Amino acid sequence: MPDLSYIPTRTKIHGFELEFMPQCGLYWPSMRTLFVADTHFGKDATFRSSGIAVPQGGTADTVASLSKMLTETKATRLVLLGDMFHARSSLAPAVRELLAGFFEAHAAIRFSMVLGNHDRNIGKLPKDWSIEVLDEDTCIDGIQIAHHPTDSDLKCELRLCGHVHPSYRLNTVVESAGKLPCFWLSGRQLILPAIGRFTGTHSIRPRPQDRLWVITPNQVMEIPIPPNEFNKKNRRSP
Amino acid sequence: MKNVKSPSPIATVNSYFASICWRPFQFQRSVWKAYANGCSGLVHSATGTGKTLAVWLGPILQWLAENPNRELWNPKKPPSLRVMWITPLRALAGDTAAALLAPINAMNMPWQVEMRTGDSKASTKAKQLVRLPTALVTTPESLSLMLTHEKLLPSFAELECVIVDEWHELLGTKRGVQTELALARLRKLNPKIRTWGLSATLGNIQQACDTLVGSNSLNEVNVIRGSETKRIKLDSLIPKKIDKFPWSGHIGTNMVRQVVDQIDQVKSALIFTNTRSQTEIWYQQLLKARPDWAGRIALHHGSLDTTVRTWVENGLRDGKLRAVVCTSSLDLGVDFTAVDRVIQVGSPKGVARLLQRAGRSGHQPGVASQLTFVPTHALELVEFAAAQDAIRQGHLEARLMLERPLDVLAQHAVTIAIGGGFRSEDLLREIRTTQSYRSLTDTEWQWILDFIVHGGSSLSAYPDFHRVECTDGFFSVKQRRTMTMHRMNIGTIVSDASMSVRYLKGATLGTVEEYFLARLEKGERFLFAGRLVELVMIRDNVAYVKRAKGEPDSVPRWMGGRMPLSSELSAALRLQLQQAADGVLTGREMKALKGLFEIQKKWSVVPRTDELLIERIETKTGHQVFLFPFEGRLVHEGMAALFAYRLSRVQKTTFTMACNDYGIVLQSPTDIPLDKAITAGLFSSQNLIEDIFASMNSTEMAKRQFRQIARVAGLIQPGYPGQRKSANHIQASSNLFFDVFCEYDPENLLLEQSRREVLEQQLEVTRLKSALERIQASRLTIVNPPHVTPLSFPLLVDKLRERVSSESLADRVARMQSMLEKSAEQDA
Repeated sequence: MPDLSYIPTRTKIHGFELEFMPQCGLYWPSMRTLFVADTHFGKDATFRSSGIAVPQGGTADTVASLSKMLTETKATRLVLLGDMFHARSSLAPAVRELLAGFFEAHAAIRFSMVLGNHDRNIGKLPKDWSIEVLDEDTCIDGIQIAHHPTDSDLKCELRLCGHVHPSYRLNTVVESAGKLPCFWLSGRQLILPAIGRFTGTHSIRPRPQDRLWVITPNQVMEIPIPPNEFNKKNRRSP
Repeated sequence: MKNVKSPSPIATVNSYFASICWRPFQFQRSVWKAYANGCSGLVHSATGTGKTLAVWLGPILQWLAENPNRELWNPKKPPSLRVMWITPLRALAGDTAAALLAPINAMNMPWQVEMRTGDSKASTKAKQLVRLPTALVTTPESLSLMLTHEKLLPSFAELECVIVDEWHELLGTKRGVQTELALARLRKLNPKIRTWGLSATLGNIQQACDTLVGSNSLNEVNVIRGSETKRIKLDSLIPKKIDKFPWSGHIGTNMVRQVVDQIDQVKSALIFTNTRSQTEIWYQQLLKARPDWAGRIALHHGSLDTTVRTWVENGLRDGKLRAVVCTSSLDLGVDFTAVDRVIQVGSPKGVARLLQRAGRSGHQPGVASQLTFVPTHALELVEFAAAQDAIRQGHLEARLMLERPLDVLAQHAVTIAIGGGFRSEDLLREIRTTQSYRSLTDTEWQWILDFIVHGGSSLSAYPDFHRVECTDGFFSVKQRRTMTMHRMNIGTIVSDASMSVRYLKGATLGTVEEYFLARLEKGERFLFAGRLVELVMIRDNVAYVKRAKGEPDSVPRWMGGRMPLSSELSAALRLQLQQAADGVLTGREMKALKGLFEIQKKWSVVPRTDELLIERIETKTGHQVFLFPFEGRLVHEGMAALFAYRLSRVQKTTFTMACNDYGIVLQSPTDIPLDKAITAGLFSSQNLIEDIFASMNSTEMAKRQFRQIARVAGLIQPGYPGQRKSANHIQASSNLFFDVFCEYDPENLLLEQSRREVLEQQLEVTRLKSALERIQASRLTIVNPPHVTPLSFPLLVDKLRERVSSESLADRVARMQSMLEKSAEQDA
């Protein structure tokens, strides 16, 4: 991918000033904290070890764009909302080497994460990677962090999570822009897009009262959700 | 005991024919003689003319000649494998096996006939691995699978004959190429094996035969034409009132009454529609018109569950069903002798297809086939008149061949690596004996080897990859897991990502493509398998539904309804129009359109074959240019994008466009600089490929094409409907693979293949090129009609519109954003 200029979209959500970044990160300037979800490092290596030909490069690009965001925002803390690795076989030698370099380059940054469903079976991470593992639904200065979305009551004003890899099929009557990865605010829960390059997305159907920010290569834009999205003809209410 | 002299083989066969009240046809005798001489060959004729017996009795006569002493025939010790019978559809295997057994039983021969398909029981398959029957009925996929079992190869080397049924169905498809490769393998194992094929008559029957027998056959090859006696009666239902402005939106259900009257006159009818959704709708309409037919009419299409389909097929065979609404799923196969009328709803799209369908009625030698055509809009009457003309002239479609698809080859190479392994030069020589891969380059072959051994051409891009191992130039597979995964993958050439649809209580109704279900909300009602059902939930790749009442919210649209008008039928159509231009209206169909043609002539012209009609109209929505090449929809899609691109180079503008089988419409907010563009080479066939790729969203199209390629090449692990995915962590969509290859291994030949398939299959670029050449040699007739003409009206109301645009994604999103804002404000 070409070098992209850094144009964040600044928005106030439930009292928090936040910046949406086209590299799929969410930056919280007042706390100098960067949030990302679903890196799925080494997914390509897992596929290869199972005899499915996937070229490498995706993991390196994910690491590079993460690195770039950290440098450009001057963040002091990175919070990973789960699914750091894809599977046990994702920790291939090349992937370990890449990440060791990443941690070394950003030695001053505090790394925190919550575990995602993919992280459960990957075993111990190398000791010299200083990652602090937090419990799901820990609150950081008023923002609750998690991997899985939830329906139950929230402790904080805002809950950030991943897992869904949301994307939105943007259509108007006359044209279609295809599936675009997006940030999805539903009530007090904000779901982040997957930052991993070889991860795929899941098409979501927002409710009319939700908010959506879609990602184009160099810009994040809020999209009004058409009211008819949910009020299809003859549709019964759930 | 008295030594009774056994009757001669031919006398035995003659008495069998006598017992079923037939006499062998001349062509059947020719096949037997050729077979006895050790020849290979292809038999072609219409369905229901005795092709099966023609070929099947060849090996039987041979065996009878070799085993004259009946006292030595021992049913407990059937002869070992002699004949392999390949059928294109596994649903046909059972009926085929029964048909093959009939003469065996009648002659009390000790042959054992068995099936081996995806539906066979595991215990049967295991037994067959120990001992194969005398004749085995199988499918291309199952044959490929058997090639992965090294211990079967000695039996295959003993095969006397391999027979491919309905070869025209496989020809020009990837499954056909898979068959070619398997046949080359069988010929390698036994160079003297006889290869026979059965086919409907095609425009390129010699090529069909060459493809079947390959170039490593030692035998003499014969093309034998079946009996000519099939009589066909064609007529059409002409609407009481002909729309002057034909619109394709209403799929012809206003003709239901007339169709019901037709069905009333016959014993049993097949009603062919062009899409599975039309099948569902027509079935409902017929039931509505005749509620008393409930239980006596049925529907049949490829997405229904096997049990449902079998029930319908049995009902047809017994003559218990009055009528069955179906798609091409019933184009093939076994006799439904009770069917005495075929009704074709909507354009048949091709001449051979119309003949094939007509042949489904009167499926007995000597009985006439009867087909009644039901137009879904007025202009289809011209198509039908054209098709009748083409049949009279014998202008049948040629089946286009696939040139060396690399995904199928990669799959085959892994198959052979599992089934005993290979040396590169040996397998390459074998593969080049097939028509499809005869011009496979050394580079391409090396890429295939790299792909299956390293993952891709660039060594560094695929570390830790394991599939096929190469030791001292010998390629083989050692890991069990790779073998299992590959075997699961072999059957996946045809199936698209689909989900099974099941009642909560358990009965399976069939399958629907995933993308349709993904759009449905819980509680939404849709028509499926002739019933109104409501979606309850989706779990583990199964959509659970329950019966519902009321009106449907939607009808599933399955992929594959995109068949264009064939080039033979298009040419015949242009001839019909030329006659109409001269004021000559032949036949009921054309006469019925007199009024329509008069208006067309008054406001514009009816184009001749050496003329390209262009109509320009200004409407509220903008400037419209209609062009009528009459070349079929796929060619028109390519042309529309090409013309829009070339016009926009003359003058910056944005076009929306639409196509049908007859023509194209381009619409622009500003005046379209037609004359200038024509001078600048609007219709030129030069730089065609470059301009096409520059013009359209070729990436999106290549992505679509890549879905199948990724599956066949073994990138996507199949999750069968209903089966829980066991390896979720190695599942990814083909789109994702496509993106990752584009980004990190752009030289990957599978990407190249997807682009080639877009050109050849989605855009029919060869046809597009010759169409442009025809246009360049034609007169251009540009008219400004006072109103929208009968020819242009269907294009104007066509909803499928694509846009050619040069704006960036962000710009487009921004524009759509503001548009959505505006409509939101209006709503508020």
